[in-house]
Formats: sequence, structure tokens, C-alpha cells
Amino acid sequence: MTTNYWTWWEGGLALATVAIAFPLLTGNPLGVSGALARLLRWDAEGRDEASGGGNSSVGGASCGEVPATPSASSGGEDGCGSNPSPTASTQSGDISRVANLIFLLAVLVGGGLAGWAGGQTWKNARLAPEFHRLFGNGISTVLVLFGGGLLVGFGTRLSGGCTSGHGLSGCGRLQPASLIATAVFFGVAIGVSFLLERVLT
Amino acid sequence: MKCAWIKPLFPGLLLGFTVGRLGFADFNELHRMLLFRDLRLLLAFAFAVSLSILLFAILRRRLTLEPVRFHKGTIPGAALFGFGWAVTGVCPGVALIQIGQGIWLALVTLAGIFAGIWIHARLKKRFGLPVSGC
Repeated sequence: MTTNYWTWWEGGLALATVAIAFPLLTGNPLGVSGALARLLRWDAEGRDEASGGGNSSVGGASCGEVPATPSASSGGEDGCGSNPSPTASTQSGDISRVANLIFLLAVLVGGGLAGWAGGQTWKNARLAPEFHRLFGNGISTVLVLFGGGLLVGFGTRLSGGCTSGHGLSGCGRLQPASLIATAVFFGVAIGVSFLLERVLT
Repeated sequence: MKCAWIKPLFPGLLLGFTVGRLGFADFNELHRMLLFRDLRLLLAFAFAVSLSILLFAILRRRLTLEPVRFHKGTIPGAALFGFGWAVTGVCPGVALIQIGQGIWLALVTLAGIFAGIWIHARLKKRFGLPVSGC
């Protein structure tokens, strides 16, 4: 296992850069869980709902809706001024499927590069020993990973964000919903971790 | 807009690389953070958020992003996510990063994540579960 990890300020600096660079470049707030959902268009944020427009219920305020970015329209007397912001894309904030896929692949490749830079190889790559200390080595690990992944997928969609969407982007913009969500998922994760140590060891 | 697809490339690479180099994708490190045995990751996150608050405040005239809506799914969803996160050590981005690092078991986690997203989409259609934007 590598231990030559970045310091807190190196990592914090880079994460903040991502939280700002993503919306500056794409016109959308950062969020990996949303990107995963959009990938298979199993979520409301797609052309499906925008064109259908059948139920204007709770999903109505998703990213792809037209009125979200006033700068993309005629400009008007909005606070944005006369010159349309260069960051607002012509697609009125909706990220294309290809761009979405590129983003997710970039995260994957970036992670691979990080492993390589830290001295890991594909051959010796495996889950951290602590995980196996808690959950064993056999089929139990598969069940825990799948079940836990299920909670992550369902929970982030229900909550509307994950560590990046709520935690970095939402908290960075001081969005009350994101501040609450981040406090909740950190709090629960801390509680569950202490519980795991108590029950499983 | 031409070549719009290339724009998320840089932030994506940097996100994957940073999370990997921080050790956020390493269950050992994450578990120790959540037990308060090592505050490095917690500090990194707090520093990132603080800097982001500052930068978003400076750029607030250029960046008009949609507000994050609060609804009745926000808290329960976050709680379920927190549970899954503590058990697997994986948030959605980390699953991809672990796969990139060659940890094949992360494919199982990612399959679970997709299954969870799928279930949410089903239930939402059926019962009108709340969903927020990005």
C-alpha cells in the first residue's frame, strides 16, 4: 500500500480547482453521481423529460430545463448584464452525453494515473487490508460491496448529490440543502464506522 | 458549440488524480478519517470547501448555477449514502478511480451503484420520489 499521499493542503487546493473549473468550462455544477445517472439516462435529467414535459412534478427543476440559465436566452434586463457569460453553453446548461461520458472516463483514467504516480501497479492493486479485516475475504466481500454500492447509488440519487455534488460543489456555493446533506452523510458514515469497529472486530 | 465534449476532460482527470493521490479512494485512509484517527483527509475536504466558497463568491457574477433544492429525499438519501460510503469506502467517483487503479472488485461496487440508480428511477416513476437537479 502506498503511503506517500498528498498533504491536506495539496489535495484541498486541487479539489477546489476541480469544483470551480468544472462549472467554468461546462456551465454545469460538478457532480459524479448525477453524471453516472445521466450516463444511462435512467434519471430525469435528459432530453426525455425535457421534450416529454408530461409530468411537471418534482423533477421539474433539473439541470436541462431552459429557464435555468437566463444568460443563454436573449439576455434581458437580468443581473448578468448585456454580454452573455462565456461560460454558459449554448445547450443551456445541459451537458451532452458524450461530454458526460468523457468526464466519467477522465475520472477513471485520472485515478489510474494517480495509482501509477503513487507506485502502484495493476498487478498488486487490491482493496485495502482494513476492508478485509472487517468483512473477510470470501463471498461476503462481494455481497458487502454490492449492497453498499446499492445504497450509494440509491441514496445519492434520492438526495440529489454525493461527495462531489453536495460536498464540494454545493457546500462551496453555500447551498443549504447541500450543507445539510453533507452533514448527514458525514455524520452517518462516522457513526457506521464506529459501529463497524465495535460489532465486527 | 464545437468541441464542447472536451471541456470536462481536464476537471475529470484532475478529480480522479487528486482523489487518488489524496488516498480518498483507499479504504484504509477513509476508514481512519471516519474514526478520527487521521485528520488529513478531513482537513483536505474542509480546505477544499473553504477555498471553493471563496472562489464561488468571487466568481458569482460569471457563474449562474442552479440552486440545489431541498426536498423530502435530501436527508434520507444522504443517510443511506453515508451508510454505503462507510461500508464500501466508495462514493460514486471513487468506484471509477478504483477501477482505474486495477481493483477489479470495484466493478462489483459500481454494479451496485448502477443498480441503486436504476431502482431509484423505477420507484420515482412509480411513486413520484423526489429528485433534485444535478
